[in-house]
Amino acid sequence: MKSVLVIGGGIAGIQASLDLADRGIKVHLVEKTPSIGGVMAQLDKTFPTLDCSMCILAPKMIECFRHPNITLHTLSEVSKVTGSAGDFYVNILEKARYVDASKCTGCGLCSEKCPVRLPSEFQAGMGTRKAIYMPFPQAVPLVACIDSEHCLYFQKGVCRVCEKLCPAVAIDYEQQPREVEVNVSSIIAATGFETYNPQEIGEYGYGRYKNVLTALEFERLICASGPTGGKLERPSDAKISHRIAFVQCVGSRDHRVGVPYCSSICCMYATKEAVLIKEHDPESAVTVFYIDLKVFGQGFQDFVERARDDWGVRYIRGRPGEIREHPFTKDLTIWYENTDTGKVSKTEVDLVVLCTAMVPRPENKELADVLGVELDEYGFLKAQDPLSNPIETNIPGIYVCGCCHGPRDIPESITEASGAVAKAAELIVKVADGGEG
Amino acid sequence: MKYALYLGCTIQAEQFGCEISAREVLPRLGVELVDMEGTSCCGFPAFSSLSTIGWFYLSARNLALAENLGLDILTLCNGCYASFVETKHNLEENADLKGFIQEKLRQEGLEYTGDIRVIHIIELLHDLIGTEKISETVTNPLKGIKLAAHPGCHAIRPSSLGRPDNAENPQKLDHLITALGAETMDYPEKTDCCGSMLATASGTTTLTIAAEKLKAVEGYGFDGLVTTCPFCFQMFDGRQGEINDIIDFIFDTDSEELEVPIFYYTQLLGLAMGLKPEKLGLELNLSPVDALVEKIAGGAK
Amino acid sequence: MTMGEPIVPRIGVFVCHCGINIGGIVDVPSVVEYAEKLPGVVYAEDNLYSCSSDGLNKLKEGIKQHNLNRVVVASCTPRTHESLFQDACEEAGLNKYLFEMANIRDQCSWVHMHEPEAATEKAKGLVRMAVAKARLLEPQEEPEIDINPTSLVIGGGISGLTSALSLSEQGFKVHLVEKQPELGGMLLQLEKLFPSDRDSMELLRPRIDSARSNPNIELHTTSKVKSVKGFIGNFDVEIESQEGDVKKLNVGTIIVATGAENLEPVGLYGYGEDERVITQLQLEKMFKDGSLEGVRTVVMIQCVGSRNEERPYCSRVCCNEAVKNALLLLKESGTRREVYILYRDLQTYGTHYSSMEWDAKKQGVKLIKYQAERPPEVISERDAVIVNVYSPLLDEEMSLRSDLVVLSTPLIPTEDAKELSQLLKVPLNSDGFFMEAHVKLRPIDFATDGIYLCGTAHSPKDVSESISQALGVASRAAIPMARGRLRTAAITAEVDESKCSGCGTCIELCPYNAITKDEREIARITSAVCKGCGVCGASCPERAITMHHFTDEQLGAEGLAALGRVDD
Repeated sequence: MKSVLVIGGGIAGIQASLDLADRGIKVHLVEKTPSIGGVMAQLDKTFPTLDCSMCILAPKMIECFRHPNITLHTLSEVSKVTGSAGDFYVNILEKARYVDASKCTGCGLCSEKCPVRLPSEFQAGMGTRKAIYMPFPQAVPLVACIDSEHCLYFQKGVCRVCEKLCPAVAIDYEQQPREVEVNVSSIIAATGFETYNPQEIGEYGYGRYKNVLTALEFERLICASGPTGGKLERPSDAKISHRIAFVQCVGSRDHRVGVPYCSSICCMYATKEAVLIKEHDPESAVTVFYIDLKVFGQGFQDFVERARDDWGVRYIRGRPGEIREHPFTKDLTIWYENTDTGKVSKTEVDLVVLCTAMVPRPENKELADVLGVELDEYGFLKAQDPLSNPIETNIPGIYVCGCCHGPRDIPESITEASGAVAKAAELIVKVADGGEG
Repeated sequence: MKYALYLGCTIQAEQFGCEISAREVLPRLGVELVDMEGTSCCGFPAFSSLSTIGWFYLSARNLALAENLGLDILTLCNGCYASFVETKHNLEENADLKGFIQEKLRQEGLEYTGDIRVIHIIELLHDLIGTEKISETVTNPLKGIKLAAHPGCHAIRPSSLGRPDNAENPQKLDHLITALGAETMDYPEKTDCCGSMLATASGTTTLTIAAEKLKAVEGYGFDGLVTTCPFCFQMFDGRQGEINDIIDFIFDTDSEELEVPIFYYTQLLGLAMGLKPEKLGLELNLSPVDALVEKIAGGAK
Repeated sequence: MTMGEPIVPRIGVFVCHCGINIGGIVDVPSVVEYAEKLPGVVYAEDNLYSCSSDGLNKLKEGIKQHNLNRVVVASCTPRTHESLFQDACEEAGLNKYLFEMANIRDQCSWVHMHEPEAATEKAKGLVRMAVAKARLLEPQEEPEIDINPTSLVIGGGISGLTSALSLSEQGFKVHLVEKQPELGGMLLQLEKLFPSDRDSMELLRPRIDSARSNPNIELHTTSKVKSVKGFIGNFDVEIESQEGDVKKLNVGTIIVATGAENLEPVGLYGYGEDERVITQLQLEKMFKDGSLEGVRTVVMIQCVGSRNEERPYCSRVCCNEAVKNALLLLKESGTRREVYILYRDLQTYGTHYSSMEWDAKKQGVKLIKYQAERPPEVISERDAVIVNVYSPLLDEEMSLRSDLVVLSTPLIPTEDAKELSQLLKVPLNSDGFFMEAHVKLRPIDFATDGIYLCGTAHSPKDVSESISQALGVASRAAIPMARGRLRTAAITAEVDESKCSGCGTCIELCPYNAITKDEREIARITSAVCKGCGVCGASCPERAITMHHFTDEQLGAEGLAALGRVDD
């Protein structure tokens, strides 16, 4: 029986891989970054249950690593696909880590001593990493990786401290990238999403005002494994933030900039983050500025009511017109209209969190070319028929699940991942019965 | 660099300092200013509120006069600049309207094509000449002096029609200030209006708007405010006295009078170039500039 | 279960440094020294990383060299590493249940970072506890059960049909039970589906035809589930038809796809009194019948009977249903219609619905927000139905003269949901819908193994989401069925029949429905379903229930060790 290729190691890709592997189908799981985990690994807690995100994710990540039916290809990309349903030939380009995975124990000594410091992608730029690094402590695989574009040895031929210090002698500057060809029955795309960069919305000051953050940056700030250990120390002066405002629909539902659609999850993650703030500091003043409160999912309405009634989070219906920064205190003033009362007012806060749109990854275009699938008008991968066939694409044998084909939350993403597995399994049976893909 | 210099009304009627200082400093930056004959008001804002076509006609006529000289047109006023840009845009969008106006202008012997660049003084100084070149001409840097940039509304809005600077985060005037050796910083009210548009509609509202801005500027510790629009200049400089007369009413409490020196940019540029204050029309400023001017000019060789 | 003769424990203790995670705070060598002296311990060592291939090798060598028959690893969390060490023990020939772990990282060095001495003492205590239990550990077996590769799908709507078809395509046999004579469920009542404006029959017809002709699918229409016994792989199900015929089936997995109903808002906004006040479903029927002539002005009211005290949830689909119907109303009429939608928060989420919302706005559908505290008022007059609503955005009290008022009401659990939940012994949530195992990570499984959930039986959702969920359960259910055999956990409960009084407390409390009463009224635990949670063991008043691998003796010894008492 042929194996199945899963592209993307976020929660959807992980779920698909485990469903396949648990029923005896071999999986090649390809992930672009050095570790699987995706955006869910960066979250502090998940709505509406307030589960610790990493705690419920890590066991699944480890299972992927240990499962005899799953072959992990991290720091890898799919470079070429030929063939057809039931019989695809896929080239996987495995980039060099410059660390021997079979020797590295994940002790972390190399990172400690590396002299080059860079913004950490995992910390959404709120913290730093080194040129040799592991993206986060629970990374799978727990193997260091060298960012050759910033490593002093690769750029200037000097340093080599990591090599000198590694107790497992695992550093290998000569490591070469590898191209592997695999023959699979079907392909499941689970490449996830990106968040909108709100810098072009000049009136909100993102990029200019230090204390205006995106929600993902804020998530790292409030997370105990984040750069401040979960203390709400705001960027400009490390002052503990007590007055925090959330601005919804930043770049969403916008016909001027960003995208015109609703990103589905932002009202809920804002509520979640608001509750987390209140849990940290019940005296804090938290306000959510929204247009329509999206409470359509299981337990969402209840969650918002608890936030509002039990925790005292203020919900004001009105998209802020402008955010201004005091030149000395770096406090922020938000000008808004409360559309329920019709009053225009301003409020002063320590920190502003912009809840930005979920947008397609720019790499979707390249991926679509390689796979031959279509993109929709926004750049998301396109399901063949969003109504009656939401998991298959225009290419038989290639399936989509999770946020790569539009905004959705975790339960929906993993449901679709299982759905894609059902389709993949159907195909395997069909081909085995002598049918064509 | 040769431009048809369009002065508009306010400068010629009242704010002489703007013209005087501009004529002093621009040639030292290699700019040749050609006077235009027969110009009229650009039509903005008073005439435009009565007759849109009349407004377009007046502006197009001024543009045609410049076209006649074969030159691009340079304005020293945000309002005139906005007027010309909007007229150009509207005429381009509406072929019938353009045809109508062209017909009228031909009756005067003027040909309007609209293929003319409208240059704002900020654009000229920052984009075309450049802050480096300006710095080179500075012999008397304004060290230790902190100035608030007030680009004014029409230099930045509406952004869809192309303005010299960014509507949410205008920085060009700030760069022009630091090119003189002075200091500046961002402040929340930077993009706030001076209030002069409301002058005919409501006397006290207009003064209140200006007062709030000046009070904020003072509060941040700025030594003065810089603008590139004679309308804004008139509001802040010329009417600061009026504001102070009713300041208790404006802020609804006993208030200290405002003492904010107001400058038109080329006046400061002149001082930084080491030119004498009299050459820059500074004695005409009604706001309390004397002490600061003396401090600056005292540093000149 | 026991080995017969009491074994002399030869315990090996392996203390991990975990780099500096543990070793940087806890004085690991002194813990090793301490462990060596504990009764039953014949060998102790420290490792830099017990979980590395190097560490695991040392573990296996240690077992062989020192003839260990019990192993304690003091390191990190069993959540992530227990199975790793257990596998290593098995590879060295030791039953994996003779292994015990002490968490001296998460529960010690990590939380006592600033008190190294106290942390070291605590680490010693934790090791002492683990050793005390290890001495009493016994090997366990994990029984295997066969899985019948047949599925029972309850519900023949779009979800049931989709999962049945997928399972059959995957090679499994399916029994599809539907209480109505026709297949199709609620979609039969819908006219056009959002967002792509297509006929519901276009989706249903091919699926119904496939289901009927598929040799792997056996249809049981006009039938309901009468009883369910057994456990994953081996459910004995009785199905009863309307005429009273009973069929007995044996299936490996069960899928609940019983759908939902639409609330009839009797007493709200004049529904039931004025025939011009209808629900969205009734509007669908009017589209089908073509009976909308003469209707010029339509006012739709959202959140009728939902997002209130009685039904706090948002029913997800109603806003999109309303917008779709509004667009259809505009498209259908020759003359200009006026359509108003009075909403609280517009749930037009995602790319397609946002696009539909924008289309509606461009075409002139009037979306008017109303506040929950000031709901609209509906007054019946002879020539029109008047809807009064306060719009906060306009700060205006609006009075709309309409020909038709359409109420958007929520999807509610079916009236037989409660009965089915009791038959299957699966829980309902506070809104009365079936409750999944975990909202985030197991949204379509029930906590009970082998039973799965999809479609609106789970919660309100649209057609494409139901289809995704149906495909999802087709994968989840297929996992055990594809494997054919399932290794069940060894950590299960066991009843000492001589002590059981038949009080039934354990049966009430078991979250997994693993306990039944046999013919003598004695509690019987189905090991295959038991998760070893321990609730029964803790609550049995007669102390008749023992938890394998967590016996009272073992836990008692651990507890005493925690207090510092080290008995032999």
